[in-house]
Amino acid sequence: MSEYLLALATICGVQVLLVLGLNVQFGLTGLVNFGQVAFYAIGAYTSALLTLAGVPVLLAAAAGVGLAVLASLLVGLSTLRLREDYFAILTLGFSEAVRLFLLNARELTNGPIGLSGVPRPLAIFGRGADALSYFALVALGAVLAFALCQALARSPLGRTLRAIRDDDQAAMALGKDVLAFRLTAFGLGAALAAVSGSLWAHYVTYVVPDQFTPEVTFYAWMAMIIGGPGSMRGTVLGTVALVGVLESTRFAKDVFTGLDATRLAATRQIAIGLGLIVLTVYFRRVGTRRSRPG
Amino acid sequence: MLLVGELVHLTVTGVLIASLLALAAVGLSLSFGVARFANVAHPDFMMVGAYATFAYNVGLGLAFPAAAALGIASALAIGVAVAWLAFDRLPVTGNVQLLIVSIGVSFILRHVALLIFGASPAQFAVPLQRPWVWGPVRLTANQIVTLAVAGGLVLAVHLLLSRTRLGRILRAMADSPALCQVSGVDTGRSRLLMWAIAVLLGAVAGVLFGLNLVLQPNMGWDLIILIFAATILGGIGSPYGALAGSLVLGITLEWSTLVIPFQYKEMLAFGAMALCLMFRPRGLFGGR
Repeated sequence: MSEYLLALATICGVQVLLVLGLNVQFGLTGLVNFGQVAFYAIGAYTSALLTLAGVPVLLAAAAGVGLAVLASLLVGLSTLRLREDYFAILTLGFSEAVRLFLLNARELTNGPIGLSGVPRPLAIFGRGADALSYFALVALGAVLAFALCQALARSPLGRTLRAIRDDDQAAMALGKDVLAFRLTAFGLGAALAAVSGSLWAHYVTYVVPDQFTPEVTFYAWMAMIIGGPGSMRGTVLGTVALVGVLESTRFAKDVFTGLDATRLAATRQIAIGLGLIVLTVYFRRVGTRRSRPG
Repeated sequence: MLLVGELVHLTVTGVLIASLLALAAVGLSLSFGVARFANVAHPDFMMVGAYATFAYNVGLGLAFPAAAALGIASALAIGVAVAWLAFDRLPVTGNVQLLIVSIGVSFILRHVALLIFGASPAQFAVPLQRPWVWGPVRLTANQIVTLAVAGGLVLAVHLLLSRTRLGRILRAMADSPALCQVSGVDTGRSRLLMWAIAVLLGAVAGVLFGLNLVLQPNMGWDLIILIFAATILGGIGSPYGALAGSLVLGITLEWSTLVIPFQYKEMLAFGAMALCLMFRPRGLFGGR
């Protein structure tokens, strides 16, 4: 049981990084990013591929972050000037294009079979201590990211980002370079997603394209909406709540014995759909929410 | 000579794909113009049409034309009810909220279909056909039906938009919903009719898709990049643009397979969509 709780805590830590990234983009800056999973996937695959090729883990993870930021700048430059729903569609399309690339570029990514045997750092402590030390690493990452985002939200930069979210015309009139600020927020969120992806790849020790479907993005959206967009503390609470609920559905198959794995998965997806709708109705001001930092 | 033959063959395939894309993209563009949000669940109306037809055709054993008619009618009822409930009746406003709701609707539609019909590919019960061959052009009867039905429907939408009172109202609603309302137009009812047209076009596209390929719960979702790319290339909100965008995209993607492996089609379509938004955000044919 304690092993299970440790696994749950590790998953929470990894997810917190992903949702914090989304919250910097949407909660602080108002960027409707529907492709957060793309940067998570880029971080995971880059880190996995490079460590398998013998590159030290830290360097590989840094490369993943670099590549994700580069991709976010390319996607952002083409669309951040446009209306928010164009941006939403383009980021969603980007994440599907990345997944299809991972699925089809067999020479590089091994296609649908994916990459296995991704080394887990800190394994030197031997079995048993292994999971605990990795959790410590994830927790350290999550705490650092939380502190960074909290500091960002309270800084003059964070204030500018909120001003752009609430009224970009006014921010522009005050001489703020809106595109540059949006790119900064988008890139920062992508970097956090890449760190999260890299931590995930080295935790589960394998990557397959199926781990990077759009549902990852929408889990993150649900966690952010539950916690209240713009609030970093809310993000952490929302993520813990969502992971708790979702993981407890694992036990559903012990209760409803008639459901096989496929049907159970489909039922979970229907629950995501309903959850998205209900949360959007309940927090009617998603996107116009003005919350104080912290 | 060989290359010319290959090009003609690819062009025919491209036009076939374009005709399916156009049906979906015209409906998407129409709903974007009138309801003012990007309906991510729109491609899933194709899936609903295809599986409803499948249920009558294979489940109940009806002949394909009868099954298609009943299936499209059922899909119309389901689709319009879903769109009305989720997009018109929920107390949400704003394009981002509606966009998130449409993602929820898409998750629900696809996975309800998965629960009912399973994940493995399904096919309509239609007899196998021998293609007619004219030089490099090979067409089956199903493909000719596809082209005829798609062409006919696009023409019908054109006549509806340009010649009827409803068409005038829909175009006016896309321009200014507030002005429409003060002029005494029943915008709620017109919006409902718009959903009916969009769902109908999508459902027919789904049935035609199933006639030429296979059915899967993700068949609509998997086309999402292509459909949105066609819509954006044509200038989002413009049904005529969507038709042109579909033709450009369908034919170019087929030609591209001469030099680029076919698996990368979606990535090319995504690239085209991104470049188009960067340099010509109103579409290839719109003003700047």
